[in-house]
Amino acid sequence: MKEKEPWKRLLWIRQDYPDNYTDPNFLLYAEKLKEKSKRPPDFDYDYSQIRADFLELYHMVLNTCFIYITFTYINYYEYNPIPVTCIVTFFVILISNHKSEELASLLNFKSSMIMAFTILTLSPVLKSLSKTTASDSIWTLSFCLNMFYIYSLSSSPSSVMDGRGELIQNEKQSNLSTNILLANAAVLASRLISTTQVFCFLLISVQVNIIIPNLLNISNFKISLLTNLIVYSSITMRLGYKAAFIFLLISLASIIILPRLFYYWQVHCKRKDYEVLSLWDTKVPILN
Amino acid sequence: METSSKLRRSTKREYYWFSRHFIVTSLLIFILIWSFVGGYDNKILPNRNWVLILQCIVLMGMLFAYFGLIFYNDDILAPNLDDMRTITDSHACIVTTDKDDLVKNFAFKETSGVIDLPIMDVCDVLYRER
Amino acid sequence: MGLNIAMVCDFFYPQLGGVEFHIYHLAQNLIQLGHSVVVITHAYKDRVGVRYLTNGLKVYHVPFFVLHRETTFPSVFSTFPIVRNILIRENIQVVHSHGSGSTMAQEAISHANTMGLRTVFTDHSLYGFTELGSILLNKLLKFTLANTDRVICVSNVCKENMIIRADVDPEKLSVIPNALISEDFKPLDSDIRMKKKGRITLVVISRLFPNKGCDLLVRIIPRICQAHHDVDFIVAGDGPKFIDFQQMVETCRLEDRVRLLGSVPHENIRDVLCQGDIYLHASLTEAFGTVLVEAASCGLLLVTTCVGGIPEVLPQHMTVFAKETSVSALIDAANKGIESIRSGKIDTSSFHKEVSRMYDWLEVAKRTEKVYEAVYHDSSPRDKNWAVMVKNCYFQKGDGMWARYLYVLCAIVEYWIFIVLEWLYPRTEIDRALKWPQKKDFQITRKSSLKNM
Repeated sequence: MKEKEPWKRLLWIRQDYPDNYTDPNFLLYAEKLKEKSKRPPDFDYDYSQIRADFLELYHMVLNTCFIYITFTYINYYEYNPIPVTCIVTFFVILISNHKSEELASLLNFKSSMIMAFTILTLSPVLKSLSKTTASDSIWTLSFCLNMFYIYSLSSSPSSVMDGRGELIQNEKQSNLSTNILLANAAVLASRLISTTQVFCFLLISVQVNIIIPNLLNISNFKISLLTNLIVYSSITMRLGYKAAFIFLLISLASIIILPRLFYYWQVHCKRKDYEVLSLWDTKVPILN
Repeated sequence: METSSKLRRSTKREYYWFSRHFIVTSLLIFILIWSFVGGYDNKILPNRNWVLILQCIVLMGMLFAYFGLIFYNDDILAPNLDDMRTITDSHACIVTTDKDDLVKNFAFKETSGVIDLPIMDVCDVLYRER
Repeated sequence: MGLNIAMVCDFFYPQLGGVEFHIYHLAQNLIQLGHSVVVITHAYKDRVGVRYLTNGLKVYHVPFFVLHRETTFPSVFSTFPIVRNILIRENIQVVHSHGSGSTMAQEAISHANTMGLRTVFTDHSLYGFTELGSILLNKLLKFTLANTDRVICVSNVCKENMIIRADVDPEKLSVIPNALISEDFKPLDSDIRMKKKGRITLVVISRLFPNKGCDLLVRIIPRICQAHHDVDFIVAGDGPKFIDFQQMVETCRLEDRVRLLGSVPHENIRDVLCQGDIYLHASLTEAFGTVLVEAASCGLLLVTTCVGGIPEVLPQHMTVFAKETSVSALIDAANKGIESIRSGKIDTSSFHKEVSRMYDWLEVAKRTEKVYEAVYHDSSPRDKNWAVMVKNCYFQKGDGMWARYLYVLCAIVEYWIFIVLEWLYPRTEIDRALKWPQKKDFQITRKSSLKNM
């Protein structure tokens, strides 16, 4: 009796097997997949890295508070913003000179001058832009923009997740987060009174939120200590001890509880075989 | 380097899935709490009636969509029986030869393109006396 | 004695695509084998009502609200009255649905199961597991396929994907590939081909969506044009990425070497293919790839990525595979293909005959007929007992508690609606439609009518 030819995984030859014949290798593979999904997962990333990542998220949120602190400083307390602006600008120039070489710092100087003059030109426009909008809707708008900003910042490729800040292949640099930040600052700037105030506010926002995180690592211990100090003391001064205490509670909860929740989610809720199942995903085009 | 960046990318996807899970679950818990707790004397959450009305609107909206869909399909999308669209349309390629050619070549043979048969010849084939 | 079969899908003529032609040709060949086939789909603008296509294929274009990209609005029960009416008046015994992305197809299966008819489902594409749309679709598919009698997939990869996605018993899944009408895809005569020697033409035919690899193509075309001076390109098809191609042509000044044809009607595809020597396929996911078989039938060498079911479709000597879905790998493969054509190492004149032997629609119809026979062979009336079907829904493995209760609730509502419909529109009051006569019956009557005259 002639032995049957082994089943081949081809569609163009007529084989002696019925149409519903299943590749026995695949049945074994499916069994293994099922076992894998029942077993607890083996972790190849360590828990401290996860905690560090959540801490970075916390620092990002803190950084966004600076806009509101500056705004309160100018609008509510009505202090003169010019000295603060000069100090912050001085610091930024110092740090950027310290970091980069001669030519690069010169070019930076030119582009930053252009930016500063653009902001100066736009300040009167922004001041009178939404004068007729009620203040309540401005606060709501600013809040929503802030949420979008945090979301876009955390899902951009140049953020947190790659420790050394190197670009991962295929992901384009997106300046969506910068645009949202500028929109937020512009919206708030419409509540201010004089052009100088608008100019200083915009300059400080841009420097603190965009330039400084690119130059320094905001998760550095000393810098984060300074940030925390400034933010909490501002909250206490403006809103009182109760509000600061509630803010502290929420921050602690997010830093301590969220990683635990993440771990719990990974063990119980996540489908364990995603890496294996990516066999049938649409492939990513590699553009080299 | 390659594997570490791949690892970073997979961790990032995990964060994305976890944040999706977290946001949806917290939204659900928030809506539940709001439905039961929020009241006119409660300063933290807005008035409870808002979320209750929203839930009722969603439910009734689904019911309305079912009936609305049936009425929309039957009354607006379906043309009248004497409308020309029930017989032919702008996408149709109709056979235009005479009866014998039609019966020989089109009525019982497959064509590689999609071609309509004219309705009178169809009636002839179907209702001819056997 | 043939079966009465209903093919249900959202996608049919006048929309042109792989699924649509599959349904059309399969239906035509089943009629050839003696069955009676009816197609149920939704209305396309002014194409509403009943149409009769050649060979007596009846198409019902049901007026229904279309949501997005020609899929109807997904309400689980709204199609029940009209589909029940059609299934009763045509005395349907088997309902064959196509496409997981088609809501009408999935609903028709549930309705047919409720009415006690046999059901078969065919899937035509691969789905991932991480996108939100795929997750929801897979959940819905589990509910639909819990009580389906048989499932057909167009390639082995598609079958494995289906087993993992929807937890179907592998014995119920058959693999029946697509086919093509090889007379429609004949290559040019050899003397005409001799005349246009000298320049090598690469053809690309696809809908220009991102998942078809348009990002890769836009970068490959300029580099190949730069490296080889006797190479031209023809790009046919339309889609959101058409603008990228136009920009590429303008930036690299390739107007005389790259022709963008836009959308090409199906009748002219063969002419476009015959102008080329190589077919370039850069798709990122593909379950079968009928266009590859059509290109091979027209005598083109294939240069393609190695994704999904593509390695299973054609023999090795007809294709040059790119190792991965990257620009450099595709350029290497294209260079290899161009070299083989230039040096004359590969003779593509035998491709047409080989392909015509491999893929034939009558073969596909016969294998599908075997599936229908298996449905009846293994069936018992208990399969369509309502309690048994609800139990199958409830005991779906791998589903959460919420999903199972939701399925059971949907099933119960479906049964209630069926009871109400049976009372409101009884079966005895629905006229039964006349079936298209068989050719032999018709000829005899013609002869007898002539005699009587």
